[in-house]
Amino acid sequence: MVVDILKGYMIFLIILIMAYVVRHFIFALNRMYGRQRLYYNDIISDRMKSITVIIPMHNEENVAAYILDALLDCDYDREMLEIIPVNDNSTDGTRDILEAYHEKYDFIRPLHRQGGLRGKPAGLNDAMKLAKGEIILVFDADYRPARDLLKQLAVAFENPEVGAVMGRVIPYNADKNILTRLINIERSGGYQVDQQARYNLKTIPQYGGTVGGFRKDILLEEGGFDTRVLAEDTELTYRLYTKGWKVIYANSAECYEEAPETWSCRAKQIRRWSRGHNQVMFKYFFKTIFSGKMRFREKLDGIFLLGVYMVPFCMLLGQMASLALFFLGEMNILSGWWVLLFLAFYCAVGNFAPFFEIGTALFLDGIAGEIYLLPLLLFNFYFYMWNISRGFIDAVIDVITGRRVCWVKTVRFAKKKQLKGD
Amino acid sequence: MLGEDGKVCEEETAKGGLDVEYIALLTVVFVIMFLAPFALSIIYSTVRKGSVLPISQEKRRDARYFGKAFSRLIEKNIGSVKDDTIMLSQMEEFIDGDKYYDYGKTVDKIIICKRHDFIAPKEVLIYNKEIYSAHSVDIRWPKTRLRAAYAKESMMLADRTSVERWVDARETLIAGDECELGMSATAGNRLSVGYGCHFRRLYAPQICIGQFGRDIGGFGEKTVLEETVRTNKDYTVLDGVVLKGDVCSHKGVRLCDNTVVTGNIFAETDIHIGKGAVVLGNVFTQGSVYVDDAARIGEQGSIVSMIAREKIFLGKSVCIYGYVSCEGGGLTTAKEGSVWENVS
Repeated sequence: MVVDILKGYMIFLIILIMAYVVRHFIFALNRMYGRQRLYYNDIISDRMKSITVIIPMHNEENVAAYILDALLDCDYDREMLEIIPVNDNSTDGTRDILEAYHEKYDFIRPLHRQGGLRGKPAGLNDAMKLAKGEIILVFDADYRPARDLLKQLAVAFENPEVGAVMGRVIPYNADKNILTRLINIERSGGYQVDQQARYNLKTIPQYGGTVGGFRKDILLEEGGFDTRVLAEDTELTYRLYTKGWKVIYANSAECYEEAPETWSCRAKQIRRWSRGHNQVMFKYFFKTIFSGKMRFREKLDGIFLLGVYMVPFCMLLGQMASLALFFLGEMNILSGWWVLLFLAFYCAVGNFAPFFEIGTALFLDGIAGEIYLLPLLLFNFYFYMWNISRGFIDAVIDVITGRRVCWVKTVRFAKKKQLKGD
Repeated sequence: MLGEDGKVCEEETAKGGLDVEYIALLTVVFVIMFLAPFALSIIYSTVRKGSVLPISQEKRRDARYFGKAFSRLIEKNIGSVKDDTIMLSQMEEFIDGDKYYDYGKTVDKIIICKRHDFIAPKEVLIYNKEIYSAHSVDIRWPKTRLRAAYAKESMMLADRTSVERWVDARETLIAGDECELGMSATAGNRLSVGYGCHFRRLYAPQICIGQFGRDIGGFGEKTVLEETVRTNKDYTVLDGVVLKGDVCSHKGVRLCDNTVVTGNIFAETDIHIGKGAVVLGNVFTQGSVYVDDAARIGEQGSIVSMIAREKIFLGKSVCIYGYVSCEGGGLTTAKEGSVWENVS
């Protein structure tokens, strides 16, 4: 009986992994040979919408000045621009930095939160209530937007069906160590191929919570972000699609971010992403299947996307199952299927994007030499499998116990920037 | 096991020895093949330092970028010219267009006019380098080929002029019939494009095809609908209807004659804009755009865009306030033609 269950599970796993591999092959082929849909960045218009840029901050004295200076250099009409840095219970010098900017620029209006619910979704909810802009753009504090980025993102909302837009993130510390290099190539695969292919194929490009934006009215009508969900970005993506809105991806709207420079920091980040994403999976799995507003291809890709942080946990179980079958002497069944499993496993190496997808992206990005690093993703694969599985278990416990989640901030590595005029 | 004569034992031992060697060889090959990719990765990561993907932090979208960048470069370096050479991206020989010069049929140097207009001599057919004029540029002879030209005032291109790269005038640019307008034709004030012209990008606060576009009055007796349309099907705005809102279709959009859309139009396939129709917002499609005679995009005093993934066909007396761009190339209708001839 136990052996039959284990064998059955292995067959399920093979089919699951093969389905994901096929999905990612389609993405890679689409980017290499498929018709590429234009983004709206060619639109030049003086009918731009009013925007509010919200920057959640918790103890961000090291990076606060970088992003505020970068935003001040942006070429968006200042009459239509408002910046709300959300100082969320900071205990360092973040407050002083924000006040210094507020004194110089009246459209920078810091929101200082003391007490109350902690975390990004709660901070965004409070800031949205104060925001004057029709469109909310969100940046993490460690980001450094280019001059035309606000325009590039805001122009998406000229299309009346766009509920949210997502730009591309590029680590500025990719050359720091091997971890940041691997993150860099993963990011390349994730954005240059995965997100753009989903935009081309009109499935579900994902709003990533930063370097992106959304219509304020939609969120306020729905009562804001769900503060019990850690992945408020993924939650927003599914909320929009199930209500008939679209998310679009702007590959040309690029922005620098800081990638984690230590494995422990990356582990915490991955675990948090996994926990949040799986919370969304539990919340939206059936809503996606039964939504009357989503097309078939959106539902299909939506289900795949919901499962991406569950698959590593399934693979961990699969490895345990295969070990058990090995010691039980039951490895001689479905020999043909095993070959497929190994093939699929090989193809799926690399967690957020398989190796062929990352290779395609590196080629498109003009850094094909980095393809030599692909074998090292095998270490990442196990590292992610472990931490994502922990996040998955966290999410399961969240659902069962209804406990409130606690936001853990990502450590910053940048050196503190002096304020202009200091 | 030992055989009675001992032969079997020898054979088995020999066979067993072979197996061990074979397994050892396979193990070595396996280890090498398994480790080789990692070794290669580690060597690569040690030898080659990681690089950060470049983002141009100063990048700004400017439809007149070519003209502005070129004129800035000329004006910055014009004071330090030596022996008719000027430093641009490299040292370039130039012709002082203010002086008399025997150009010949082909010009292979940059032409710079600081004090006078540049008026193309009749004998020149090909300009292989850029033309700069601090006043106007007048390419008055048909079938002239030029690489790029900038005029600080106005510019005139005769019929069948062929532009390889770009043309830009700070004030007005007038292109005659059947011109090839290269990658970009832009003007700071007004751009008039003749019939049968090919283009990729056009920009001016007012772009007219053939002649000045007509001005519309109020909406009169028309049926007014106040709604924003989002549909997965083809969408048509019927004759004479005023739609106060945006239109977004996952297929095509058709505006019948004399309709008005006050917002933007987004479509996945072709957009057809009928005679005398008006769109006050942006027009964007992943397909082509067909704009019939006397239609208008945008309004005086504001800038909008018409963007197509494929082609754009513009009819007579069409007027666009802003920017036109198409990856598949654009065409203004022939003098006796119609944009509908291009609809497949």
